[in-house]
Amino acid sequence: VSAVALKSALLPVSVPVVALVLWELGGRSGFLDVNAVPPPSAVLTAAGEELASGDLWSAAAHSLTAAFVGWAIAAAVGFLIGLVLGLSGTARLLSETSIDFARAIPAVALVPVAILIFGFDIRAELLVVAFAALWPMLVNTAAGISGVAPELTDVAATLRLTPTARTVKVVIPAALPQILVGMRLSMATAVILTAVAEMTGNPSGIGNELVLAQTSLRPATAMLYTLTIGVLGLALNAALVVTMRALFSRQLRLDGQA
Amino acid sequence: VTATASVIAGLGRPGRWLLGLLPIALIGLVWQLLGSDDSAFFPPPSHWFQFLEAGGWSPLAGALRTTAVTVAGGLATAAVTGTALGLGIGRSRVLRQALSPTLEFLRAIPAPALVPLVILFVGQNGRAQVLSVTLAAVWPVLLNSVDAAQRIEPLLLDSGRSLGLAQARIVRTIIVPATLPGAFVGVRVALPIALVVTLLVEMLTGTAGLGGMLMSAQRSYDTATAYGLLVVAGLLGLALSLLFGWLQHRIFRSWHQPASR
Repeated sequence: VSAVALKSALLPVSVPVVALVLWELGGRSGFLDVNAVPPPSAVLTAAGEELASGDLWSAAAHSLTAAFVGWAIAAAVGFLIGLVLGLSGTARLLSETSIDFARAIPAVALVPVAILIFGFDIRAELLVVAFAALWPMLVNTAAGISGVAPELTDVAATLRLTPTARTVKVVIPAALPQILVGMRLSMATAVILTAVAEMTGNPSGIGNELVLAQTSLRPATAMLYTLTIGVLGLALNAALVVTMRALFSRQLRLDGQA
Repeated sequence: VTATASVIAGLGRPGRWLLGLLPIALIGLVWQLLGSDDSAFFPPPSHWFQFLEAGGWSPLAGALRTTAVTVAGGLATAAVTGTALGLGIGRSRVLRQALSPTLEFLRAIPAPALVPLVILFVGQNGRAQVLSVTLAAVWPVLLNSVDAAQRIEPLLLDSGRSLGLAQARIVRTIIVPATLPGAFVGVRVALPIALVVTLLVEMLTGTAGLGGMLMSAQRSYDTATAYGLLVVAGLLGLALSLLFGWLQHRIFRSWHQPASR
């Protein structure tokens, strides 16, 4: 192994390691205020406590369910509306301003309305999550479908495919890469808004544990739950990518995307 | 169908913009006609802004000002820090190698989840609000600046050098101007998340601002006002997004546009 290769391998690792060590030392030596900024070891201790009491598991299970179900609703509805808008230029024209306005609504502002309609219930969470996660899916599907190369639709016409067959066999597969991008962006949004809805509205799940830790002045526990939300997002994204590769490997390989 | 298409094509931009409002107008109309005046969950749109008749415009105007100031303060701080860091990281290969994985990890932590930590560290005050928004908005600016700074055409730098410009002059006249358009794209990307985080902090700390008003509508079971404020939040989001789009057009129209993400 050459010195240059070794340096370029060690450099990226050294930064977080050094930062963590300095942070820990700062906490132990009293340089950092441990009551405000807990050292990494305190976060690990908090993780042990929350795992032992089962709080972390039940909160993560609740948030995972809310994020996944909210995303699934958004992906299904977003795909259908996106498909219609992608296929029909008139439909796009007739709804563009409305969609721009609806997308501009910060989803967190929907929390009070959702809570007033459904009460402190997971359905309130799902409304907020699905609303927020709808737009990336809808916009990417519509763009993907309307951007399918005209040559492809010409080929489909030459083959005398019915409009339905053309859409299912040619247009949707050709737009698949961008539809998958929409699904991933929607998933990322769903996880974030799950946490937001739990912080401000429905008192359960990781978002709620995070706010409880904050209001009861337990910074190490709060930091643990912040990290958990990040891990949850990464895990759901990885699961989605693996599933999509398994389901659509043929189409994606044809497109040179896999 | 062709007749309709040609009519639509002849409408021009304002006409098509109005036509695009059709779905919202229809939903509002049906809601107004079918909605019952005493519905606890779905009060008709005509009730949504009755809070303005009772309390007047000034509480809403004050709340909007508070929220806009926090968004602007957070975005401005994020724009300055993000661009400066992005310039440094984008122009130095060692820094890029050393920091890339760390930055990727930090970016994966959703900004709203940092808000309670910021409140714990800084306290429930205006600084916590601006810092939360900055932490949320800095990533798109940083990543877009790194990208832009990294992709400055070597030819530009070479011509600067062959003209005998000092390094400081090259930075000021070539590197910074070539990075700013990318950085501004980052600011535009950061805008929606900055607005979400601002409302979230206001709701969590129960302070003034649109978020505080939303929270008090929820606490007093005032559904009609909650719907009204939801519309206001959407209009604010739309207005900010149009403003930043216009600013980008105004400032960078005449600049050479590098390909940016």
